Parts: sequence; structure tokens; C-alpha cells
Amino acid sequence: MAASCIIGQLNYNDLYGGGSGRGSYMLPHQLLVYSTTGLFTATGIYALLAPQPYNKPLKFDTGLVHRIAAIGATAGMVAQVVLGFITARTADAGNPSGLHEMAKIHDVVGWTTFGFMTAAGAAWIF
Amino acid sequence: MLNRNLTDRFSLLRLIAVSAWALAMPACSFGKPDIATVPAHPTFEIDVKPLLADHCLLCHGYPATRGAPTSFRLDVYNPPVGTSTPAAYKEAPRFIQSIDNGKMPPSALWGDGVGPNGKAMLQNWKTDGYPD
Repeated sequence: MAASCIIGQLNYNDLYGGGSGRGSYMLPHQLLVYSTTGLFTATGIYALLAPQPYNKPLKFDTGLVHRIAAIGATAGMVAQVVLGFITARTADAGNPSGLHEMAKIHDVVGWTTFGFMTAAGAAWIF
Repeated sequence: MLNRNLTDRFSLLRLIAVSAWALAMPACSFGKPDIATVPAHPTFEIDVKPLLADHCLLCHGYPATRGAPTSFRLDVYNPPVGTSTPAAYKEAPRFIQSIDNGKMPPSALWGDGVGPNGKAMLQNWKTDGYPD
């Protein structure tokens, strides 16, 4: 996910931020986001298949932080798949309308999702 | 146990919603709409260039971007004075063929290319000898 975000940022800078515009990061970004999506989906399925936890009163602890952050990360990943698909298809159609804005939203949501994922991971570890 | 967990946590309704989205998204159009009418005698500056701006110049302008070849440009009719990169007039037969056979723009593969009116206009332009 970190690599996807970093390469995605370089891709954004290259295409929309005054870079060469040659698209050198397009393929690496594509390969990384497919890998990230696959890993995230596998982790999600693994979590869904986990045994039901024992009942405990709701309180603010690392378990709750993990759950909230994981929900945020999941929402972010779904949004990223949709936004990434729309941005790529719009560019492939050669349609410049709103492309820059869509790419910016994709960039911001990507880093936000990375933040949620980091929080979820940190809460799970600590 | 496994089945009950799956049923509880990933209901049929959600599965249907996700599947419907996955099927619907590729069918959506993300390109510019087709031109309304087909000019009988189109010219590059008035008719063809705006069509190229809607479908091609994002990558095939100058300089070329997004991995497009730098060996030609479509944003001008002829190379500006002092430059030699082949432009739209010289490249016309090739790019019209690419548009016609659905090779370009890349999303034409998904039915998101130049529309029938746009293609007809390019054929009229070709018949007239690609006027400026």
C-alpha cells in the first residue's frame, strides 16, 4: 500500500503536477495497485472467515480502533477502485474533462486510505 | 460454522450490489459524446481538430504524453516552421485507420471510442483530401 501510494504520487506529479507527462509510472502504479487490492481482499476474506469473537462490552481499546480503522480502510479501498477505474477509463478515452480533478481526488483518498490502514495495522500490532 | 459466518457477514444483498456494480461499471461511458451532425466538407481547423481534442490530444499533442509515441503530433495540421515532427496532415491516413478499426483511443476496446458521426466526418475529410 505504501509503495502504491508513493508510486501513485509520482505518477500524479508526472502527469498533472508539471512532470514530463511521459507516463513512466503508469505501469508500475497499475501493477502495485492490483497487488495491493489483491492483498487487501485476501486479508478481508481472512478476517471475515475468522471465528466469532467472544462477547465483551464496547469500550475504547485497540480492538475498537482496529475495527474503526479497518472499516475506514475498506471504504477507502472500494472508493479507490471506483475512482481509479473511472480516472483510467476517462484518460483512455482521451477525454480531458475533469480528469485532473478526478486524479486529485484519487490521490487524496489514496493517502487517507493509507492512513486508515496504518492505524488499523498499528492497533492490531500494539 | 463457516457458512453461517459468511451468510451473517456478507449478505446476499451486498453480494448482489457488488456484482451489479462490477457488471455495470465497464459498460459506462467515460468519453466525450459523439458529434451531433456530420459536416459534408469538414476542414481540419473547424471540424477535425475539435474532434481530436476530445479523443486524442490528451496523449498525442505536443509533447506526447502518457507513453504515446513522440514520432508524430496531431495538434497541428503541418509541422510548425523549424520543426520536422510529422503532424496531422501527414499522419491522417494512419490515425483515421486506427480510429476506424477500434485501435484508438485505447478505450474504444470497451465501446468508448469515436462515435459513428465522428468516424463519418473523418471519412468525408479523407474523401476531400484532408483539407486544412
